Amino acid sequence: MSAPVLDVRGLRTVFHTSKGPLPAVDGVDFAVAPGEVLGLVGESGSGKSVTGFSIMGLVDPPGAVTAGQVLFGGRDLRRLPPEAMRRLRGDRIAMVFQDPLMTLNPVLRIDEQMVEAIREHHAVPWRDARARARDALGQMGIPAPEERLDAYPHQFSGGMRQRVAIAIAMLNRPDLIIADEPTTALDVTIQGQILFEMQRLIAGSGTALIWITHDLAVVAELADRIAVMYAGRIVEQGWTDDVLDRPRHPYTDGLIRSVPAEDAPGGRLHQIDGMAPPLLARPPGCAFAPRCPRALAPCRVDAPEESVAAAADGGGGRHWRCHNPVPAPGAPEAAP
Amino acid sequence: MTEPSPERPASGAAVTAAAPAVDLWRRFRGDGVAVGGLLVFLVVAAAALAAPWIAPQDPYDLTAIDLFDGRLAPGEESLSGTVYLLGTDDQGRDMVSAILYGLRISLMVGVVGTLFAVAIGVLAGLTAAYLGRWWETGLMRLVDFQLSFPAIMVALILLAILGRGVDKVILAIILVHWAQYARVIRGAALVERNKEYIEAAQNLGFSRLRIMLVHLLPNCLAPILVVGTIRIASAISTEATLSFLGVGVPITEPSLGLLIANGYDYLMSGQYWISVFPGVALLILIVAINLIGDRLRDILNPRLRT
Amino acid sequence: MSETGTPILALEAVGRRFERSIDMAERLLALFGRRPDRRTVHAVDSADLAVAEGEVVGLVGESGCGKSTLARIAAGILPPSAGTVRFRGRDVAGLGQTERLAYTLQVQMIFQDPFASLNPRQTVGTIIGEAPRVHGLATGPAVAERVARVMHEVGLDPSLAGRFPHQLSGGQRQRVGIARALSVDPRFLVCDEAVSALDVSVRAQVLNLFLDLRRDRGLTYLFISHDLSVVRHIADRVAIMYLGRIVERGPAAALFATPTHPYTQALLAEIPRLSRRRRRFTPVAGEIPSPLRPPPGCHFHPRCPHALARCRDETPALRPVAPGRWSACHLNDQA
Repeated sequence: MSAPVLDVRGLRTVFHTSKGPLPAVDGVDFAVAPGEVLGLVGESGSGKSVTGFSIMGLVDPPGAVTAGQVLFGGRDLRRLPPEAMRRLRGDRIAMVFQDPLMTLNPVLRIDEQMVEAIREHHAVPWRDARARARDALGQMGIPAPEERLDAYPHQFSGGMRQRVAIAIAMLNRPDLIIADEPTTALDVTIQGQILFEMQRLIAGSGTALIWITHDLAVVAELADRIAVMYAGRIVEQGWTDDVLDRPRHPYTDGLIRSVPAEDAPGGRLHQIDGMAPPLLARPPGCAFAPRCPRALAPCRVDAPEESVAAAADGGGGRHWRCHNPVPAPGAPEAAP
Repeated sequence: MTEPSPERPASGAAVTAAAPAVDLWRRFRGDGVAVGGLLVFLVVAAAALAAPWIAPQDPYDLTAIDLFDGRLAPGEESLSGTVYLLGTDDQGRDMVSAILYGLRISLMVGVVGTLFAVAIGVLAGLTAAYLGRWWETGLMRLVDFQLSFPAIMVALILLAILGRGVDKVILAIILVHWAQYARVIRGAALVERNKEYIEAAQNLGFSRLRIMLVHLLPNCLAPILVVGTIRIASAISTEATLSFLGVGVPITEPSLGLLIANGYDYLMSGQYWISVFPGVALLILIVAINLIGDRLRDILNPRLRT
Repeated sequence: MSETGTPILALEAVGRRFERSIDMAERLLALFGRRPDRRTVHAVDSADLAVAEGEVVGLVGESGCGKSTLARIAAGILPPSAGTVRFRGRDVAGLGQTERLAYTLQVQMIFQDPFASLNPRQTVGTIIGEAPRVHGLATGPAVAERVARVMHEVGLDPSLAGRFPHQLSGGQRQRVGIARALSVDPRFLVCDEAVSALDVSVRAQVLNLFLDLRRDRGLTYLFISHDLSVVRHIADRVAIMYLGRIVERGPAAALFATPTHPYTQALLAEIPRLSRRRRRFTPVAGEIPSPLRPPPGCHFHPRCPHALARCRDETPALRPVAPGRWSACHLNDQA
């Protein structure tokens, strides 16, 4: 793996509430290489979105990043002065949200917003910036980009609006895009269009992409590597094929098996019993232990450390956090 | 595998069972300004209610009033040796007693008027939103019509026709205020009506009356509470204005507005207390009510919840 | 139709228009000769669908295709503006008051949003117990017993009866919605995107619950979803909707194996699959048109890779193409 664009180490983000500190992200490590697509998968409350906001330095009080490093091109973003961080955002790192209206200003025309996004970071004449904005819209597959530049956000359909938001994120050819559930609210045919454009764009620019989603199937098709989050921690990560075909963490395994299979309609689905623990009342030891079919006595006491896989297990930064991992296919079940 | 997996009750402090009303009180209690406003209001209201027992004098009892004590300054001693804390008016009435009795009338008119106006407004707004069609169109045009005239003008015309009287002032307040409530409730009910729990109630075969009263109304209570509270203050000031203008309550039942009007003639001659003290009482009452209403709005606004 | 006997629920040429009402200002303008803009949406346009007792019929489509409207017509919440809804063979429009109530209670709906579908001011026990109490299905202590029984049936701890909806998780709330429907002993459940808002692991739990209820109570389902993988798993037969019309209908296995309508084909190609890795995406062209201005002829023709000239003018009828399989496409005529 070449030098990573982003290297997150021991990231911890805590929300201070009246009922005590709430660790939304609780010690997260991962890295993304240039041009790589990392799928960050988790259910609601797993901390996947907060991880994205923490990298961007966009966690507002009562939340705060309390520990860890966010190394971006070798520099720790947490130590960067706010002004330098602001210059980086929208230029070298960009974010795309589930609701594109979060980034689009409803009272400004698209061209004003896009030109502003360019000239905020680069001294370019207005006319050149507008031409670049037009090209960016065209690259996102928006028909008649010249006319669409004069439109307001509400004049676009949901899918088109998300394309505009992505075009804005791509304007300055960032090194990293963090996309937080950008296609969750869209229909499958529209999602396919956006994934197509996105894939084409980053293949051309070498931009790294973190795709945050709850949808395993989307990351299966899109991502090079997958990191699975549960209760504020990454419980398993590695190459997409390794994680999906040979999951070692029981949670990953359960998630994969609970997706309806194509060939067995009507049967009972594999289900993970219970529900995710409230962040304020996380069980001691492994947070998944109360729902885990493989849980052993130590799981309820000690939180498992990250185990690094042997090279034979695929590389790609393959890790899992489990005392009693699912045996690799072919390997005999070890006596606990 | 066939055994259903009961989801265990979620544990943790975040889910302590609490009825919405209890929850509301808990959050209200945590707000200094709101509690302060409520305390002031309660003290004023209690003093007004207890007026017959705590007032030094019965301002309606003409035998207790001595014309020779007229227009005594605050703290001045009368011929009979009584000290009037806030002075007396032109009739020789003790201002403290007059204000306490005046508060009684002002509060009664404001609260009773608001209660009736809320009841009518809720009925109109709720049925308009839920039943729709010609009923909604008709009612809402009536509301528009009503609200296109200045409230005070409507009230003035009404009282000019009906004559003075506490009951007539209340009637006027109901008439000028119900439309506001109807509009607020309809707005809230229109939002709630489109939520799935109302469809679920229809799907369970409940009657329209049941859906309106049991399902729709309780979920529209928050705006009613906020607007209702603030509007009590406005009803009180409407009454004061009407009485000040001489069309409100009769002289035999002086409210704060009438007291202010009585002192108005003497204001320029330095005998400020006859107008100013009832005015201050009115101000305190209205500010206290507005503070409560304002804070209620913040507390009940889901977007401001933390 | 391939089913034998009277279907439990049949929608016959059902349509539903929504018209924007004209306000006072427009009525005034109309006096001066300006014609008001009566925007009509054909949310559902002449849909035929029959569901046999014990069957699970899946209804699939993207946003704005009218599937939620069709769900509400089937559940009796919305009256159709055209066509007939038959419950056990009888036109529901002609039912008397008691029969109408019986139909309403026998066809219950499960909603999408586990937050908005529960009255936030009622406790779980009240939400579930209200209908049996009001309709006299249970009285006195029997209400609480019934509540506890259905709560247990849907996998909720009966001790949650005193909680308010905001104190529950999304999965628990959805179970409360299911328990509320079961409290009146329905025969038929209309599930409108009932698992779409749930997390993956909880979604499997709720889908399993639906399968269990089908087995234990012999329930019939109309299962509406945009998620093809869920529908493929649960449905016996599937209908595909596009912009208000049913474009294809048939047994689930056959329809997913060999889709005949180009829209179904496109939709199936786009479902994300776990087994497909580092896919080269090749998208379906075009936007989903606004239901306010659907394209003439076949609504799908602007996006269809096989569109013919006649697709622009002529609406293809839904016709049988194989035993039990129906499709609305002009291409079927050429084969």
